[in-house]
Amino acid sequence: MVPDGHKGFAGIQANLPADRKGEMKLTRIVFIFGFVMALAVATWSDSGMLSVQIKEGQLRSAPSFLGSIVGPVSYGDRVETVQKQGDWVEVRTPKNLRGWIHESALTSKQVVLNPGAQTQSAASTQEIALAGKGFNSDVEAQYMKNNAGIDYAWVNRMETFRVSREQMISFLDEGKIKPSEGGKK
Amino acid sequence: MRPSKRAPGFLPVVFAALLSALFFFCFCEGSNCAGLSDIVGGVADSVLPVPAGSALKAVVAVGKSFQDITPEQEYFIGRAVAANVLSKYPASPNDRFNLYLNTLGQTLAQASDRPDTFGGYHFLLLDSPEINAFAAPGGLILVTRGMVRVCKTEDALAAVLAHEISHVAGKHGLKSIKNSRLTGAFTIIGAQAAKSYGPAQLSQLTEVFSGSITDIASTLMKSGYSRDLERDADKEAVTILRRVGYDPGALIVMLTEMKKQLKPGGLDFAKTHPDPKDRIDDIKPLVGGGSATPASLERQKRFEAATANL
Repeated sequence: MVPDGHKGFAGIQANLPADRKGEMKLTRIVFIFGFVMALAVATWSDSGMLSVQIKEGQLRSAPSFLGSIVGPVSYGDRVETVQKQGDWVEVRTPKNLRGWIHESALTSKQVVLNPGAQTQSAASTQEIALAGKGFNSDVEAQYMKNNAGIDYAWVNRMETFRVSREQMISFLDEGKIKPSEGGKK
Repeated sequence: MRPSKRAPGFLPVVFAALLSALFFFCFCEGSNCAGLSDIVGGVADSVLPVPAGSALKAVVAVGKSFQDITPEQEYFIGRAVAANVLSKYPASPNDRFNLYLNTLGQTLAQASDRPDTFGGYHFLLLDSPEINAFAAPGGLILVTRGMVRVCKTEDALAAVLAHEISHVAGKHGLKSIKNSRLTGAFTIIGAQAAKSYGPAQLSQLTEVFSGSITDIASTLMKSGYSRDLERDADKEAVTILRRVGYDPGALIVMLTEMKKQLKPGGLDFAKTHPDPKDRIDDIKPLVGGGSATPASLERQKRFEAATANL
């Protein structure tokens, strides 16, 4: 699963004469050129790897919130962009599952689920998001301890209120409500 | 970020990567651009050592506003804000209404500009006669019995929920966190690579967390958002209502009814929101007049059945 940008880079790399490998200056220039070209190609073709930034998400058969569900994705999953349409992105998972998901579920950062072990491999800290960093379940536990009067029971309960796509569709049908994604009146 | 063994042969790679990063940030400031790691990932994944010092600086420098709060952190903030509201307003265990409220609300949320938050949108009825509604970051939305009673149709209730969803989608709650707190938080976050914090850092982080919750909760329950943010939420609500297929004019109908029922100087919506009349003036050009007539018999029937015992 290699996005176009990487192909572009590989192409330039292949043109590198082997005997100049030792020459730092030239290598440097070629590398910079390579990166810039790769960047240009990647930006131009709007391809690239994205990460799922929500707890659980769903891939859909069409770019719409009523599109049938193809399969689940979860926090930290890396997906490859196939195409974009409005706020929706068609992606492919490493398991070759293909479907549409709203861009609000995705980040261009790499989400690292177990910071420590994998962080060495990331290219730049600005481009990774360490899961569980900052305000996390430990902070929440400490906050609860400090504020005994604040009860999370109903917060936990309301998070279990879930409505399926099928329930939404029949709710709209029964109420004679016709969605118009285009925003027409 | 752990320091790793530095292989001398890769210095040019590091240099090139830094230059590319510079290039990247000069030309690509928007958040929609493909990430740098996406582009260099193919070559850098296995070979590029990251100097620990510069990595730290990067984290601290990058985290400086509410926009840098990750969806996961927003989720924990939202849970605490909702828990705070629930410590002042009791939840209503009306299962029938809560199911109806969630079916309506989650459908509307799916049509917003941010349908996917970390933990999703969830709605709950509060057992209070006060006319009020609260949107905690991440999508926990609480609506009082008094507010539901103001609504005469499903479309009107949809308008209330769409307005609250818009506060979540626009991250308005997070905007009310004082910047000084965030600077503190991001310094602690940046200074520590590991997932688990030592007791001192945990206590510092919890203090910042606690302060942030206070900022948001007091905005929701006492001071209210700026008129600009309320206007944004009303505009976005109109968009959501249109997308789903509800009458956007229901927002005007609802505000007109609210104007009648809110007591000036009251401690509820009257205190935390602009005058309904001003809000009507702001959105009227977008939706026209609006009609109080129920859109369909079926819709009105189920609305009345769900709200019968409130």
